[in-house]
Amino acid sequence: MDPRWCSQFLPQNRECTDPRIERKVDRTPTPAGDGRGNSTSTMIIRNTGVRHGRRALAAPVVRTLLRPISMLPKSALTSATTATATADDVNTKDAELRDALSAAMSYKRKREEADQLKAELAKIPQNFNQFVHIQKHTKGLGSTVKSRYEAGVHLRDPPADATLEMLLAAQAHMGANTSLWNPANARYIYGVRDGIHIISLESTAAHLRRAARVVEEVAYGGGLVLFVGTREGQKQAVVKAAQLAEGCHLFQRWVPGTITNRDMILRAQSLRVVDMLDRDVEGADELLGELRPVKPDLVVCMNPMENYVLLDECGQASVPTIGVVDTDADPTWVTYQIPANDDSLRTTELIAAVLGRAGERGQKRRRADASQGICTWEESDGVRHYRIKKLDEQRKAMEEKMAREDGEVKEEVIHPGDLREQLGRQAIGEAAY
Amino acid sequence: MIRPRLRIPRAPRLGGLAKPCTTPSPFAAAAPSLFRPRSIHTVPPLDFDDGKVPGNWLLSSDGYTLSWTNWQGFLLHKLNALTIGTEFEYKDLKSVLLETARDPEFAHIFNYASAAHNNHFFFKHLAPTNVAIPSGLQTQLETSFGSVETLRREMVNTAAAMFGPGFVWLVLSKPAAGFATFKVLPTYLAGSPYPGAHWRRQPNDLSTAVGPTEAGLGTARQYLEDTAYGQGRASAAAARRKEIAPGGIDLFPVLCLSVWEHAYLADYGVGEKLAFAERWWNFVDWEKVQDEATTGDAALRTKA
Repeated sequence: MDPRWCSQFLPQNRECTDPRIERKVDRTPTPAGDGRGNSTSTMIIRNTGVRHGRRALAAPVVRTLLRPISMLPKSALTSATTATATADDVNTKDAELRDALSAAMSYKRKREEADQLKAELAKIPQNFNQFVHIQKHTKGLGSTVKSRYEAGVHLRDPPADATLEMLLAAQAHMGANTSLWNPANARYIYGVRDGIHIISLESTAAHLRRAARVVEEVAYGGGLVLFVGTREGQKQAVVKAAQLAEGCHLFQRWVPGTITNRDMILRAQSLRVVDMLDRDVEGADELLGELRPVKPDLVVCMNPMENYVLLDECGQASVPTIGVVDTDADPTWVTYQIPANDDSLRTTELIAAVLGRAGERGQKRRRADASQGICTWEESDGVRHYRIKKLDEQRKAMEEKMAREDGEVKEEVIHPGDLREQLGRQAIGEAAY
Repeated sequence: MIRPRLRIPRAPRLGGLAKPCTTPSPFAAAAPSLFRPRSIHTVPPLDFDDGKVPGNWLLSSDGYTLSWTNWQGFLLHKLNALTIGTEFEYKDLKSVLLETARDPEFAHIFNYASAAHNNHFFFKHLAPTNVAIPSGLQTQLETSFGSVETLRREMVNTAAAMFGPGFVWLVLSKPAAGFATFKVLPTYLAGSPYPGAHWRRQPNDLSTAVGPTEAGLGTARQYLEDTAYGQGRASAAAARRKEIAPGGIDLFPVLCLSVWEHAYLADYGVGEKLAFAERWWNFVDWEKVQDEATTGDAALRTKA
């Protein structure tokens, strides 16, 4: 509040009695109504506060007055100030002017700084575009960076064979802790390091290649290969291998009895009867109703340690098995062991890829031979029994028919084998052979 | 059990049969090989990847094999060996060189990264035949140097005057205030022109630039001040030289000439650096230089 403004509203010589207010009383009498009588301005301001309440002083100042007020130094509000030039006030007035000038200069400097900052900010899009331009031309210079391993590379492009380097990179050599080993696996172990057994990768590679030959020949012979991997993360590897080998996959729990009790457990599953060119055989509906559910011709297990029931059933049903055997696993549970790390998913993917490719090769050879007229497999027991049964029924029907015709019994020497063959061909069709 | 034998791919033994330096070295990643160690950084492809360089070119086939295939392969092989297992393992090469420029502890990584980057920069800006300077670029060069012939002499003579390996760069300098201009900048050994790697710009051969003269002492003082500033000692002069505003770009390279000996040794012979530099001028890809030498704004000074 401008002290010159408020002085006209207050009686002069009024003392301030509030002890909280610092007193600086000037009792020099001055003419009343003099708007410029400032020698009592200090008292007036404080009386104003006492008389009109703190709200008068605390009321928000009109905005238009702020600028001129802020230009004045703080001393102008609290000490006795005069606009009239008196001898005592010359020095203070110079100081005030200097202060006001410096305040104005600092204001100007701040404006300049703000403008400079704006100019710098305006340069940012330019600088950024320039940066992008430079990076585009220089960032990739010097080398082509290739990542060494991408997860799932063996799933996208399954290799047909695994070299020792690939097996090492897949950590296939890392066996289990030495205290957990099965001494029956001693023949596969290269040594000990860091408390684990190290599997000899040469034996891994040799066993893997043998297992691949088994899978290939089973597929060539028209066999059904079941790929099993029930651990978390093995699903994709197992499914991919089954796709390549045109077999079956299992990545969830093996239901006990799926082989030994398959007549019950698999009774709802559908069957197909196909010829050597993989075409469905005509007129086999009755046959389908009579056949038992199939069992796999080969089981490939990625984690035999968790699938004892499956492998035991395979043993009971004479189904050969291939298993990835770690140093703590029992090698006698499977027919063909592949000594390798069963904890590494990268190893699982690699081994599944190699075996899947082997199955794919076998299927391709089988089809190639079939197109040449060579059937690489023999009909299954169920189909053979059905065929013989049907032949016998037809033979009986023929005999009865002949007996009903003219009384003369024609003595014709018919060999049972020839008749069976002829009737068999007519009943089932030539292609089935 | 078969006793397995450890198979490690080994480098050829020293003192063995002398083979010509132009056959692909074991480090060259040009042809895939079963026994090549698996690298992260691999030699990037160039236009002459089959090794058949154009006839009557700056380098012959042998020279190209030596100074690109073998040399770049060696640099990247060493870089891989130094960075595998460190924080720089999966970073691209330019990021590696910018991050290792300041700390002397990583000086060896910087050396190989920067040398590989500079070598590729040199080869990238070579054309199979003579390319004429586009008129826009010619105007800009004439503004900066007076004439293109002056620029040529500047670069070639700088190259001839440098003792030992290094590179001679044509850079576009963009000061904070004023116009952008072209400048010639030599960097010794594996020095880098990028502002982000200014600690290792190496524009002076300290063995010859530093001496008892005023200029020599100034160079030495500057170098020591900058080094001390890098290690934390306050220095206003060094701060002015070294500090760049965040996102600020004060210069970037657009062309370079390699004066490493192996670049010219096979085809030009010992001591024929000047002949090599003069012949290099005929095979600069000026179209590429023009593409890269833009500033994004119109602040590139041209002859009005």
